[in-house]
Amino acid sequence: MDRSVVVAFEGVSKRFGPLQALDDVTLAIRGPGATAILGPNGAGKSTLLDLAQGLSDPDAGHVSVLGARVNSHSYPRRRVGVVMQREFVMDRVTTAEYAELFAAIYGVAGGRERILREARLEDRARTMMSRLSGGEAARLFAAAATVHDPEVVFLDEPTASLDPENKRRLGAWMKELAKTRTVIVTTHDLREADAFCDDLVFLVGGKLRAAGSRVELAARVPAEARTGHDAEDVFFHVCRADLERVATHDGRMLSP
Amino acid sequence: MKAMLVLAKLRAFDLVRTPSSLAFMLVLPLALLAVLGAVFANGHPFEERVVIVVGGEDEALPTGPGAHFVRAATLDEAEARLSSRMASAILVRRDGAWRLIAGEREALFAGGLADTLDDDPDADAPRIEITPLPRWGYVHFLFPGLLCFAVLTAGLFGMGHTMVRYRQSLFLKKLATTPLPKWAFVAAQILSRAALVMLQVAVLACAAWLVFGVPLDATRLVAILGISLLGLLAFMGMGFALACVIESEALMVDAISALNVPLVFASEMFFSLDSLPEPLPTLAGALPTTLMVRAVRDVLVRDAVDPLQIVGLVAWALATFGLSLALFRWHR
Repeated sequence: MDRSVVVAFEGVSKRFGPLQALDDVTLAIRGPGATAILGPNGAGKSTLLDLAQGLSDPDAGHVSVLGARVNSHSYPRRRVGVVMQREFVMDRVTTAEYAELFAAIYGVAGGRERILREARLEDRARTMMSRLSGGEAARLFAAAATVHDPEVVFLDEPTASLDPENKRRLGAWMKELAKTRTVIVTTHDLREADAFCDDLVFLVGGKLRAAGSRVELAARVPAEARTGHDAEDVFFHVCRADLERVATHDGRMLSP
Repeated sequence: MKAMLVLAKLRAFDLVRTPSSLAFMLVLPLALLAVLGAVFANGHPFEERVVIVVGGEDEALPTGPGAHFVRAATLDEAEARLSSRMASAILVRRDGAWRLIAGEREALFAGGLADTLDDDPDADAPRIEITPLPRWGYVHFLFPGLLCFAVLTAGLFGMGHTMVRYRQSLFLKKLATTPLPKWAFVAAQILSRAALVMLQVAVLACAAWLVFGVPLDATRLVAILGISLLGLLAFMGMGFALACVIESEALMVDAISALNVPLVFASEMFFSLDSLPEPLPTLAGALPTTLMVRAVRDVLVRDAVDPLQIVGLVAWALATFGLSLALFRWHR
C-alpha cells in the first residue's frame, strides 16, 4: 500500500514556563493506517496532539498536515476529525440533538441519522446524553467526529474509561477506519497499541525516543528481552534509560 | 468527626491558598466598606426626601432640613418622576411665585416644606397642590429596575459563567477542532439568550401592566423590548470579556458578584440616584444598568426615549464585544 506522509513535525519545540514539553521533535506520520503515540505521563503526547490539531503553535519548528503547514489560525478543519479524551457532556441535551449539532457544524446532510446509525444509538435518540453509558458515549463521540469522512482522525486516550468489551469494539472500529484514513491515537495502553496500530511513536520527557512500524521497532529489541507484546517490548527497550532516571533521591526506583 | 474536621480544614486551606478567593472574601468587603462609608458618612441617602425644582434656573436651589432639591428640565418630566415615587414633591417657580405639588401621602411633608420656604423673607409663600397619584406608583418606578435586574443576570451570568464552564469542561477546545467559526459560536450564544430574554421581558411587562397598571401599549412594549435587547448585549459583552480573562468557574462567580454590586446599587434599579452626593450620580449615570433603567422608565412614565441613553447602551455593547472578540481564544 502506498503510504504518504500525512502529519509531519520538523524540529518542533514547545515550552510551558519552566517545562520543556517538546524538544526538537522531528517526526513523519504516514497514512492510511493507525499510529499510536506512546509514552509515560508528562512525555509530551498531549502537546504533540494539540500542535497536530492546530490548537496551539510551536515555539520552534513547524507542523504540516496533509501537505500544508498548519498553525492555530490556518488549519484544514474539514479534513480532520478529533475525539478527545474527555468530551463535554451537555446538560439536558439528547443524543439526537448532539448528533444534529455536529452534523450541522460539518455541514453533512442527513448527518444526524448517520451519526446515530454509526454509533448504534438509533433507539437511544431521545435519551439525554448524561444517561448514556461510557461505551455508548464513546461511540457517539467517535461517530460525531467522523461524520464528515475526515482524512485524518485524532483520538486522545479514547479507551481510557471503557470496559474491556467496549475497548475491543472501539479498537476494532479504529482498525477498520485505519484501512482508508490516517488514525493517530495517544494511549497508555501498550497492548491496545499492539492490537490496533501499525506504527508506534515513543516520546519521553518531550523527546522522540523511537518511531516506525511496529514490526521494525520490535525487531530492534534483543531476543532475550522479547515477551511477544511488541509495543511493550519496544517501550521498555527504548525507554529503559529514561525510566531508570526516575528514581528517588535515595536511589530507590519508582518505576521498574 | 475527625474526617469532618479534616475536610473542613482542607476546605479552609483551599480558600486561604487561593489569593483571588481571599481577595474577594476580605479585600472586596473592606473596599466596599471604605467607599460606602466615605460616601454616606453624613447619613444614608434615602433619609432625605427628594424635591424636584422646575423653573427659576437663575436662582439658587432652595434648601431645607430633610429635603434634597434637584432640578428637572420640564414639568412633564417632574410629574412623571413624582407619579413613580422617585420624588416626594415638585416645586415650580413661575413668575416669582412658588407652586408646591405633592401626592396625598406627602401632604404633611408638603405643608412643612411650604412653612420652611415661607420663612425665607425673600420668597413668596408657596401654593400647595395635593394631586392624586397612581396607587402602584412605586411599582411603576420599581418595574424598570426589576426588568433590568433580570436582563443583567441573564446577560452577565448567562454569558460569563456559561463560557467559563464551556472552557473548563473542554467544550470550547472541542469546538476549536471543528470548522465552526468564532462568530457563529458567539452569535449562537447571543441568539439563544436574546430569544429567552425577549420572552422574559414580554411576560414581565404584560404582568406589570395587568396586575399593577404599569402604562403599556404596543409601541411601548416594542420600545422596551428594543432597549432590553441593547441592555442584554451590553451585559453579555461584559460577561464575555470577563470570561476571556478568567478561567476558573469559582473565580468567575466571585467576579460577577463583585461586578453586580455597583451595577445594581449604583444604578436606579431600586432607588433614585438623586439623593447621592456628586459625582456619584454623574458616574453612575454612565453605567449600562442606569442607562437601561432610565430608558425603560422614560418609555413607561414619559412615553419618550432619550437618544443619549440608547447611544450609551450601544457604545457599551460595541466596546465590550469588541474587547471580548479581541481577547477570545478557543483554547489556552
